[in-house]
Parts: sequence; structure tokens; C-alpha cells
Amino acid sequence: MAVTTALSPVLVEIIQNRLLRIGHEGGEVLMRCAVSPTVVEAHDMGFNVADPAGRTVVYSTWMPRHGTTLSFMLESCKRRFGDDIKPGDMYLVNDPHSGALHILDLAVIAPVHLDGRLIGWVANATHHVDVGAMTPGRAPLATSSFQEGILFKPTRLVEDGRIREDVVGLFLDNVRMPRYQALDLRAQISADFAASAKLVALARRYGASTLLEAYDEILDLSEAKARARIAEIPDGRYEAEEHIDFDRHYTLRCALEVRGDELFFDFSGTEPEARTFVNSALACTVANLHNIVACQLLPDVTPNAGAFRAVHVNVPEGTLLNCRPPAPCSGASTITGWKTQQLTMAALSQALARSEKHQRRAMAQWGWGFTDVQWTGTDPQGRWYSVRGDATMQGGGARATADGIDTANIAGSTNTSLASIESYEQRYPVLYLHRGLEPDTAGPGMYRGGFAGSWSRILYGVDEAESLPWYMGRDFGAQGFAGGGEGKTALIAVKHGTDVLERLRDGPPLYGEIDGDEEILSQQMAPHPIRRGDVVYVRGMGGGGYGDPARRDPEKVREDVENGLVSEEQAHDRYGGA
Amino acid sequence: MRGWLIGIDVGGTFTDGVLVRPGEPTLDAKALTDQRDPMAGLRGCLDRLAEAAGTDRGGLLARTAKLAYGTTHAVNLVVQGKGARTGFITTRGFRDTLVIAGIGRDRIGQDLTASRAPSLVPRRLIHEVRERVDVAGREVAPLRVEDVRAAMAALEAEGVEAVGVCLLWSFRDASHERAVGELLRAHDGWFVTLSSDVAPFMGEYERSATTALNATLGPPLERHLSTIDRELTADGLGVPLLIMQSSGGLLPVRDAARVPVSLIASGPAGGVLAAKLLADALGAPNVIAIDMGGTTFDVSLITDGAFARSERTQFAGQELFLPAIDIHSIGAGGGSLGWIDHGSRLKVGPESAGAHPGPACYGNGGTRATVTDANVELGRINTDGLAGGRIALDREASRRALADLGAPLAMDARATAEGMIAIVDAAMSDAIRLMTVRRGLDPADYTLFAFGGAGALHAVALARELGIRRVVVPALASVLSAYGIVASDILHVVAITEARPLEDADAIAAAYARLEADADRQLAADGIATADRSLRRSAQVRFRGQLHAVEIPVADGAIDPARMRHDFLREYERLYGQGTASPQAGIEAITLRVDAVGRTHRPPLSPAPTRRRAATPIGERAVWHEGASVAAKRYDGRALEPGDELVGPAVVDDPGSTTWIPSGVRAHVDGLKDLVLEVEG
Repeated sequence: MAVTTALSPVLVEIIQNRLLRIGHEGGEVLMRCAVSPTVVEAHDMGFNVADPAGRTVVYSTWMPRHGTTLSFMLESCKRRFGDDIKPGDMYLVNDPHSGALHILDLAVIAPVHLDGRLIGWVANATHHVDVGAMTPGRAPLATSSFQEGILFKPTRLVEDGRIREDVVGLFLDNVRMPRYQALDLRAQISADFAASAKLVALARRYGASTLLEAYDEILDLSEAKARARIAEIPDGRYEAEEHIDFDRHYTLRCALEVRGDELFFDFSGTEPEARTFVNSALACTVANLHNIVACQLLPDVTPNAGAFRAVHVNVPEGTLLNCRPPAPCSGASTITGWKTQQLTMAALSQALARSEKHQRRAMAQWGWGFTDVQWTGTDPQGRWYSVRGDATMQGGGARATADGIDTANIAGSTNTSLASIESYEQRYPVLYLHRGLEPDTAGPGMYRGGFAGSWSRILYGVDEAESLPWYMGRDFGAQGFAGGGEGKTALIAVKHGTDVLERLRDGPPLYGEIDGDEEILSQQMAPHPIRRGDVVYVRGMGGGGYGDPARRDPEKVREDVENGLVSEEQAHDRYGGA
Repeated sequence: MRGWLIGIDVGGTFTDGVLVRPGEPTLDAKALTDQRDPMAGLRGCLDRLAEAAGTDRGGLLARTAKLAYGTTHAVNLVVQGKGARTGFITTRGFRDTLVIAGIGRDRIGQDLTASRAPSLVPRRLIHEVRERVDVAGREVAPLRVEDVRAAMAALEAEGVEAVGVCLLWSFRDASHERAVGELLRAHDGWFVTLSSDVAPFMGEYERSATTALNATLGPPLERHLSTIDRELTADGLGVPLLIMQSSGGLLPVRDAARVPVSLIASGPAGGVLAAKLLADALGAPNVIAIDMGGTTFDVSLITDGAFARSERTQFAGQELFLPAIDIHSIGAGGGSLGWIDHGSRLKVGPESAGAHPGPACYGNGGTRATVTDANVELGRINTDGLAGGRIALDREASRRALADLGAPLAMDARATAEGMIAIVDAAMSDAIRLMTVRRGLDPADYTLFAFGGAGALHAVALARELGIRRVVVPALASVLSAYGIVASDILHVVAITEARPLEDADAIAAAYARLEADADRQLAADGIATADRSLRRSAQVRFRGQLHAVEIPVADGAIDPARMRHDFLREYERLYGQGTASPQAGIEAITLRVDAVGRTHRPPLSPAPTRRRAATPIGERAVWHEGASVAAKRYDGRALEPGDELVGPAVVDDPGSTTWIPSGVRAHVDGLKDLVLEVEG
């Protein structure tokens, strides 16, 4: 059958497209049925399809790092249930040491059977607004994982196609927003039901054996493409060092060795695990590394377990990037996780910059960190609310051939989105004074970094709320590359007891125009009241610049000045412009 | 006597025209579009229609009772960056709403070297004014007129032609925006767009983007439309020119020139409307309409007799509040190029050979294999004539291109052709699945309408893949959009967004009353007689807390919350599965909408009597299908009569398109001269 052989690459392509669609369609069900802004507006979610052995064959691209953590969690489900994996099962997981990015990410994982035979897995994860920790959401004050919320190692959530209401109840009874979270969890189950049915239909259409063979080919092709790309990068050892500022300063290190068609990342030299929630479990570290490898080095390769076969990772146990229980780690996803992204990018960029073919993929650091301001209280209708703000208005790092993206989120999450100001004001008793780009925050360079974003707001219609802010990046900026400068650091500040409410009538003033006692917040703080007349100001980080600023096209400097993004003063000091 | 109806669809390559003459055969024509002279293609097309009707342009227009016009001109202006120099005015503190553009959504992508689409208005042309309205529509700070004047002076100095205005919460209280608008309009020659007019919905970025794009398109489209209107009037057109919108309705040219952003998907919308008419005539409640041309494949749906609409449109890297017929497009067409990925896998598209150089078989210098070349190689396309036999195709050129493409995979030309067809078919069926299965709709419940130059070649394969049992190739398949345009009615869409619990029947009723009064006023201004006006209500409903909503129709008369609740729950579970509804969360209506339809002249669709008989083939053609050569009977589509029956394997050659009927498929010509294919499971 010469024809069948000739069509085989075609069939693989078709099956791969179908699997991607199945993942996408599963995610769509989740997005449409869920209520949490993290899912619906920010798209903080992932969807995987894996083979019977649990190897991820395709994953969705909303937030790519969920792809790798789902692989880890699936592995944990196999370990816990072993021979007891039955048709109609679904498992619930959020334990970081079982593979979750952090405890707030709940995964629902389903084996898929056809006529009693395991033909694959579908799995999704999304960020829940609360898991019953000592404070709503994450627990920046925790000193032990037992303060971080209800923990699920793999737990049977659906049995024989029926939802186990006892398990659902156990979760909902332990969280702060059970009504919303019930919809979110049911949406996750619906998504797996939908995707399972589609995977079964695909297996029926082409035959289960063909599907299993196709899995292998898809994984092998991604591996081959990844290896070919890596082989094009110069061999060598590239080292990076980064810092975190939270309760104190921490140092993290990464060495990348490029050898032939393989990458070896080694995080030795990173500090021991901390007593605060900045730690990361192993899965979170590896997932964030994979995220950058996929987006920076392999954006044209289907990311899956095959693509990462050539990528080796060593993270010493008991360090910030591979913590042991009960070290707290609910901040992992946005703190050490993102630090891993930066270390990976810093090392990879050095290698890429030496490759003629791939030099354009080298880049300076993107703004990192997380500027979280969480206000909780009771609104004028007497309903409990918890409002956060945009925590990732980071300037993108400058690229070897282009400026960084202005206010872009972090490097690996550019597909997320911002809720509108109107949506915040509709849901919560707040009034925004501004949200926009912050001038003079971009790291200068031949290509400049992206500008940081900033916002300011006040309570509106209520007199008081409890505030729980935390952030990092106040003491360390995003580094430049190849002579480019550092981006401006992050900041959260509050002016207390101002006359802002009396001044609204003249047109809401900007933060800089308001008089009051200004407090520059510490990165870690105990909950404290925020009152009528207090104004909070939050600024993300500017992206690092690429190349010598003196070599920047004067026309582009002029354009930034005309657009009000670079002051005359900075144009002169940093670029030597007239 | 004025009784003739003309529909025109200006595409990137061809301008299609349809002339409907009650009691006489409908005529169609194609002319080349001239990007530099928008009148040239239109004139050419009208001249051909006139010639076919035995008259000249003046004679044609003198008898015309309705001329409806759809165009991709708006799209082309944006793609080519030829919009007007535009300024923007917004609430102080929020200058960067357009620049940040809601961050990335699915628009930046995974590649870290990619960048966001540039702001629709450069930052230095965006000005802030002091004013503020809050969530309840209360004035927090009055508008400072001196700020508006300062912005005007700066924009004047910059030489802008158009100005957009979007203030926070203006969809709840538009008085500040209107005041700014009044000041701006006092300035001679500026095209002014207010967000509360073009997109009165919550979400300041999408509202700003829609407003800015409308402003940018305003001056050039106003010139374009007024040129056409003036010239057609000079040539003897005695009725108002009507313009097709993305939403699937017509607007008189003066209204359309105020909302040019609504012309973005004006051409493809025509195809969907034609499908809808045909679906009604054939009694097919559920239809998947596919339009496969040279570069794109468009899918749209008719479910229970209504086409799917969406309130948002993604365009040019921006997210717009623009009601449009829900059309999903992918880069798959006759011109899509085959390529080898990493030396081991065959891929097709989305890159297209376009009209120049076009497929290798066109002999215009193209050497890379396209989907059309693959169809030629397999014998599915007629090589001795295209577009009525005017272009002969070079079969050898196709074969060479395919052989070159397949060589690294050790595939010969035929295997490569088969592979390309299989891949493009799979991509298209995925696009259809996205519109159906993703929404919980089973394609097996639908009839497939296939049109555009290439649709009928692939339709049966798609039907088999998706379990669809009936395929219809409309009589005017290659110019169907133009037909849909002339067959449309005037449509004004008015809507209001504000979350209201369903129980709040009085507030909902009051809102509908205001919307209906507004809608009726607009139809009256268009000169539509009372008897020809009709208003349709619908609502977007969701569980409290959700951001996505489900659309339900709302009955005329008193508001019945229990009925709305019932309709919503039923629709929700139909879409997302039994047991997925959570009524305890509370249910709210978020957007209330009224579609105001003004009936205009429409072509009558009257089926001719049919007489069942076997159609007469004009010869045979060898077609390669599923690994074997089959002798397919060849038919001339123009010679087929209502009642004619065909059995696959067969090919039906029409000017500009071919229908491929594999074995196992029976076909007949219906009373409207559509080709109806019955596909067995």
C-alpha cells in the first residue's frame, strides 16, 4: 500500500491539528463557563492532551507553563492510583509537590478510555481566587505550607462519570468564595468531559492504534526539530545571576551548557529555601524554564514532552527553586517561577547572541515581579469583595532587532489581558485616577526596553478596607543586554489622608499632584487598613535595553520624546541627543 | 419602469455583480477590481451587466429600483495604512488605553520576537481632558471646555482630518462626549466619531479601538462612497445607493458614511445572507455556509433559521465592539501554497500565491504548487477553460511544481497532490468544527452550502469528514455574495449594556421601549414606510459573575422574566452540557438589543417546475480519487436544467467553479438551479 505510506505524514499532521483543537476547545468550554477573572479575563489556564503513558503530546498556549505542570501532575495521578485508573475517573490536584505551579492552581485530570482501553489523558489547570489560606488568595505572610490553604494530592473527583459531591463540598467548604468557585470547578469538569468525548471520537475515526502511533510521531518530530534548533546554537557555557527582593535579598544562579543538540541547565549556587513564600517546588521551576525555551527558542515547534527531551535540568534540592515541604511556596508562580524564566532567558540570550542565524532571538530582561494590592471589605450593598489590581504591567525586554513591548506582562505570558477600568469600577467600590505607560522607565539601548505601566486608585463609596500588598522588584531592575541599560524598578506607594475626594470635582488629580504623607511600601507587609482619601500608586518594571544607547536611531529617540515617553532630559543624558 | 435590482461586491481581485430582473433570468458579471480607481471595476461590472441585458449603463441604471454595494475597500485602507490622520480625545489619566490595547490577548502570540500591533492613533495625537463620570453615570467632575479647546488647537497644528472621542463611562452617560463632539464639529472639515455613537458598550479599550478605527476610515470612505453615489446618480441612478455592513444589513449611503467601521466585513456578509435566503427557500433550518476563494476559507452558520452573530470583531490586531455576522476565516484557498516543514512534513498555507503569480497552472510565472494545482493534477479541475473558458490551464506546470514539492519526501506529484488536498480539507473541517462542535452543535444536523470559486471541489470531502449528508452548490455560487447584498434589507442595530437581574422586568421593558423608539426613528429617517418596518428584540444573558453571555430572543409585548429564564437555561445547557447551569448564582441580562429592519425590494425566489430526468454528460474526465483513477462523467453546469439527475463519479464545470461529485454521491438540480448532492454516511 504505497499510498498509505505516502499519506502517513499527512495523517500525523491531521491528528496533531485535531489534538490541538481538542485542547483549545476544552479550554474554550472552561473559559465560557467559569466566572473568575483569572480564567475569563486573564486566561490564566492550560489544557493538555497526553498519551496513555502520560507524556504530553500537545498543550494549549494561553499560559504555556501550565503545560509542563500538568505533565507533572498527571505523573502524580499515575503514581497514586496505579492500577486503579478507571474509565469515568477524574482527579483533582493542587499540591505543588505533586506538580502544581502553586497551590492556587487546581488541576482536573481525566484518563480517556475507548472500549476499556486507555487511549490518552486530558487535563486542565486554572488559577482559583482562593484556597482558604491564612489570607485571601496567596499567603505572603506564611512561614509554613500549612498556612497556605487546602491541599489536594491526587484525589478522585469524578468516579464512573459522576461528580463526587463530597469532594467538591470539601473544597468549597474551605474556600472564601464558594459560589464563584463552584462554577469554576464545574467548568473545569465540563471541559474535561468535552475533551474526552472528542478524543474518543478521534480514536474511533482513525482507530486507537493509529492514534497511539501518531502520538509517538508527533513527539519524535518535536524532538527532532528542537534538537536541530539547539544544534544551530554555539556550544559553550553561559552563566546568569539574578536577585529577588522580598523579606530580604536572595541570589539565584543558572549555568547553561549547550552541547551539540542538547541543553543542560544547572541552578547550583542558588540560595537555600527561604522561610517565606518565595520558594518554588521543582515542577514550577521546570515549567517556567520550559515556558521560555518554548517561547524564545522554539516558538515554531509544537511544545510537548518530545520537544523537551533534549532539555536537561538540575536543581539542587532544598534550594529556593526546589523546596521541600513544609517550606511555604504559594508565591512561587510569580516570584521564583518568573525568576527561573529570567535566568533561563539570560543564559539563552548569551548563547543566541553568538549565533548568526538566531541572534534576533537574543533579548534583554523583561520586567518581572508582581505588584499585588489586594483590598478586601464589604461593598455598599453589604457583599464581601476582594479586589486586586493589575500586578504585571511590565515593560518587555528589548530584542536584538526591536524595542521591547510597552506594558507587556512578563515574558512568558503575553497572551494574557487586562481587565478594563470600567470592569473594576463596576465590580468593586473603587475609582481609578489613572492607568497608563510610565515615561522614562524603559531601559535605554540601541533598542530600548518597553515602558512600565502604572495605575492609581482610591476607595469610592466606602470608608475603609483591609489592604494586603506585596511585591518585589523595588531593589533590582530588569537588566539590559549587550550594553543596554537597566529598566526602572517597581514601586507601590500610598499617600495617606489626602483631600483627593474634595478635589474630584475639578477633574480627578493625578497621583503626582496630590499632597499627603507618602509611604513607599515594603515588599512584605502585614494587612492594614486603607481609608477614604488614601491613594495607592502602583508601578511595574521597565524592560531592559539592548545594545549601546548611543547607537539608537536618533529618529526613534525623537519619536519617543514627541510621544511624551522619554523626557528631553533623559534623551540628552542617556542617548546624548540634541 | 424601475424594477431591476443590482448587487455589487467589490473584492480584492474581482468586482462581482448580479442583476435581478423580475420575470427574466438573473444575470451575473465579473470585472477586474482596480485598486487605484474605485469606480473602474464598478463601471466595468455595470457595463457587462447592461450588455448582457441588452442595454447600456444609463439604460440599466434608469430601470434600477435598488442598487446595493458591498466592498472590501475599508479593509484594504487599514491593511495598507491609508487611513486618515487621526486625533483622539479621552478622559485625563487614560491616554494610553489605545496604546496598551488590553495587553496581548491572543494577538501577540507565543513568539517573544513578535510585537503588538501599533496603536491605532500615535500617542502624541491622543489628548486628555479633565472630566469624570462614575459607574452609575453620575458626574464626578464636569467637562473642562478649556481642555477640549487646547486639544483642538494641538490637533489643528498637527493637521488631523479626523478625531475620535472616548470618555470613561460614556455609554452610561454620553453628555460629556456629546459636548466634546459639538465643539469638534464646529471645526470645519473634521470627521468626528463619538464612542457613545458607534460602540456604546462597557470596556474602554474596545470602545476606543472601535471609535479610533471609525474615525480613521471616515474621511477616505466618505470620499469613496460620495464619489460612487455622485457618479451613479450622474449616470442615471434615481434611487439612494445602499451599502452593506458587517452586521448583514444595508444602510443608505449617508448613514453608512458615518459608521465606516461597520463596512469591514461587508463583502463576506453578503455570502451569508444569500445562504440564509436560499436556506429559507429550500426549507433547510440548519446550514453551514462555506466560501472558498483564492486565499481564504470563510465559514458561517445558520441554526434554526438564524445566522450566528457576534458582538465583537477581531481586526488588524485590535478587538472591536462591532456587531458582525459570525464568520470564521482561515488562510486556505485555491491559491494556498504547499511547503515542507523541517524536511519531513507536508504543510499547506496560510501563505497564498494570490492573483500574481497565482497557481503554477496559470502560467503567470508561479512555480510553487498550490491547492488549485493539486486539484488540476488529480483531474478535478477542467484544464481547457476557466471563467467561461477564457483561461486555459497548464497541467504540466502543475505537475512539475508538485513533483518538486514532494521530492524531499519521496512523494510523486500525484501523492503530493493527494496529500495537499487531504491537509487543506482537514484544516477546513477543523474551521467548521470550530464554528459548530466548539459550540456544542453537531455538523451532522446541518446542510452544507458550498460556494466561492473552490468551495464545490472540496464540499463532499468535508461533508463526509463531518458526517453531513446534504451539500448544496447554489446556482450563483461564484458571485453569491453580490446576490446576498442585493437581497438584503436595511438594518439598524441599537443596543444598551448594563447588568440587570432578569426579575427587574420594569427596567428591562423601559430599556426596550427606549431602544425601539430610537430604532423606529432611524427607519423613518431612511424613508421606510411604517408597514415595512419591523423590530426584533434579543438579549445577552449570563449567570452573575460570568463574563461570557448567551444570546436569547426576547418576545414582543410585556417582559416575562420566567420565560427569559427558561429560554436562557435551556440554551446554556444546550451549549455547554446537561447539568452545567448554576442558577443559584443568579441570572442577569447584560446587553439588550433591538434589530430594526426596513424592508426593501428583494429578488423573488420562485422555483421553476422540475422534471426528473438523467442529465446529459458532455464527455468524460479521468479523476484520481482515493488511490485510483476513475472515469468521471463531465457536465456543463450552464446546460443543466431543474430536475436533472447525476450520479458520481462526475464533474460539473461552471464558469469560475467546478463541482466534484465522487462515487456514492447522487445529485440533482433543484427548481432554483442549485446542485443538491446527497452524501451517504
